[in-house]
Amino acid sequence: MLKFLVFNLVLMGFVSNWSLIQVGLSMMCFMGLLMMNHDFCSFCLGYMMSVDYLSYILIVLSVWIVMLMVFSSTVVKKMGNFCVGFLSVNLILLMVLVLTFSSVNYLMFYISFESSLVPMLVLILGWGYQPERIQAGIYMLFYTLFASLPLLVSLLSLYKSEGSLNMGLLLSGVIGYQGTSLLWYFCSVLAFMVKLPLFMFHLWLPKAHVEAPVAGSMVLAGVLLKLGGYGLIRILGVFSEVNKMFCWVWVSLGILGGVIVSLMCLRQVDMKSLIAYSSVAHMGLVLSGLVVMGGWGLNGAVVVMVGHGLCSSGLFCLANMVYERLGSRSLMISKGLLNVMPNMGLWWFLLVAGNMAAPPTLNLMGEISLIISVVSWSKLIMFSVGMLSFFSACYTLYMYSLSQHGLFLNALFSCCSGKVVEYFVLLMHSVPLNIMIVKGSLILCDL
Amino acid sequence: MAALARLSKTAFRLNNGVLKAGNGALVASNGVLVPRAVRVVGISTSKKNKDTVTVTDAVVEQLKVKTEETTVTKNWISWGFSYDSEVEDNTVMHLTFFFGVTLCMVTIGFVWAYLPDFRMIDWAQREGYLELRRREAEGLPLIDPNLISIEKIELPLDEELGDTEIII
Repeated sequence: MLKFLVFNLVLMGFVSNWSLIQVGLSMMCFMGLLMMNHDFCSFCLGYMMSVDYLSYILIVLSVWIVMLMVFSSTVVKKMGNFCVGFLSVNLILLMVLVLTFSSVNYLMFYISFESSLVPMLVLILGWGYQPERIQAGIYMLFYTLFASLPLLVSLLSLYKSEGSLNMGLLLSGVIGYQGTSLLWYFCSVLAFMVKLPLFMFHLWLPKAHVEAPVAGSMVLAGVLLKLGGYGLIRILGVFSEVNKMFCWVWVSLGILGGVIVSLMCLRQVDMKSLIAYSSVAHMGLVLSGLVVMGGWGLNGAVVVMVGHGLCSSGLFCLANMVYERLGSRSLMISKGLLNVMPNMGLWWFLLVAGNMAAPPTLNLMGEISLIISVVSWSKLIMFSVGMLSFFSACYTLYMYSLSQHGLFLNALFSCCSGKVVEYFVLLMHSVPLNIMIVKGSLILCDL
Repeated sequence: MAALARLSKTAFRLNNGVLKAGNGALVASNGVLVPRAVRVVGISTSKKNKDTVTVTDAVVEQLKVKTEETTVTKNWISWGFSYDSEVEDNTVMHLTFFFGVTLCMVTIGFVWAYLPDFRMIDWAQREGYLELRRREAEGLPLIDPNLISIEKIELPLDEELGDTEIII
């Protein structure tokens, strides 16, 4: 893992040269993807870091998304809006994310998990473009911090009781399912529930996603939500007994919350807000699959995390492209785009198809696995899961149709139907999404 | 081959210092040879007696260099990578697509598609079929509810257990 971090640090030395960072990040992607030929459970061991199947997939996803972030933020470069600071923040965020996913020690994972908040906050406050971003930053920071300080206490008590915080050594887990164990369990998982986010703790997400600049939205939707999923996968193994008692809470909140949030999506006028709420719905399904503690659920969760990361990130890119041209994110103004930007219609459609888990996208494979896992836990939930999938298609088609079809705004003369760099960014989002289903075993991790 | 030719043409067009006709007098500009420097020899004449005095100074041989604009900057449409410099824009476009598409998508896609028995999935399936064949041959149940046959397990007697809590 050190090769990634050293490469990252070296790139930080060249932040004055935007193009070099762009190309350097693509090089880093290539470097990361080469490691796919692994055959051991745990590789790249050393310096308290190790990578296993799940970590590897998520590290590749982070580097991919950060690379695409830099490519889609050409406005920052054009306006000369503190380019050096912007690239430094992005690279620091990438370093922290790689550290998080490759950490072996729960405490190191926690520290990196918290550290990712700082570059994120700087990104929102520094390059966001609305005064509401102050409140959005505060919401994100305090929701996450409030929930994760109990996690710190829980990890320290785990250290005291077990003697080590190594992920591989805590196999026995916390025994018992009442009293202290209950409190312990809730303290530990609450942080990840807020990060995912779960329905009742999701208020920070629409604010943060909307107020962040495109780079911030991309990394939030693409990687930071997956930190919650990843943390849950690591920590639920320790608390498996208590989890069996309480998984009904998380499944209900996840699925039913997802249905409610999908209905709210149909009421949204702001494009970014719609995509943000759709993230809540998807992650609700992921959470339900995870806490059921089945093989299908785990695999489905990872696949949906990767697919959603690519898809939501791409949709935020598209929303930003519309915003750059029309000056508004409102679906009332940016409608009938097929008339003015016909070429973008292809990318809109491909990513929208990904969002509603239509074949042949990766999301389809994940969502089918998750539906199987959740229905195997309780047949009654078929109704809610069906509604979740149905409304997910509803609001996605609503967004596509309202933004693309129909008559365009009278005040609009023309806009560029897409620069090559924008096509590149969208290509890199949708091609993996559509192609990786052919060899799905690459993303499935039978931990 | 075609790509090489196109690349070279663009490279030469953008880097017009690459193939200048050196120190010669003629330079190619958009395919047209233009004189780069014009030497003017000063002519000195003696004073014309019948003219009123206009002092024409002895013009020492001067070298007037008339530089023409050898390149006319055309309006160029950016690929989107850089709006200031066409050279940078073009270079970054080529590098980006090389690393992003050629390497990351095509090469890595090829490697992934032909990875030999990734994570031993094929091996596991083969082993499963071999096990099934062995069980069918021996008449054992195909999926045994007991992982280990019951005869091999020695359970402790009730007296030995005493008050030990049994958790199922």
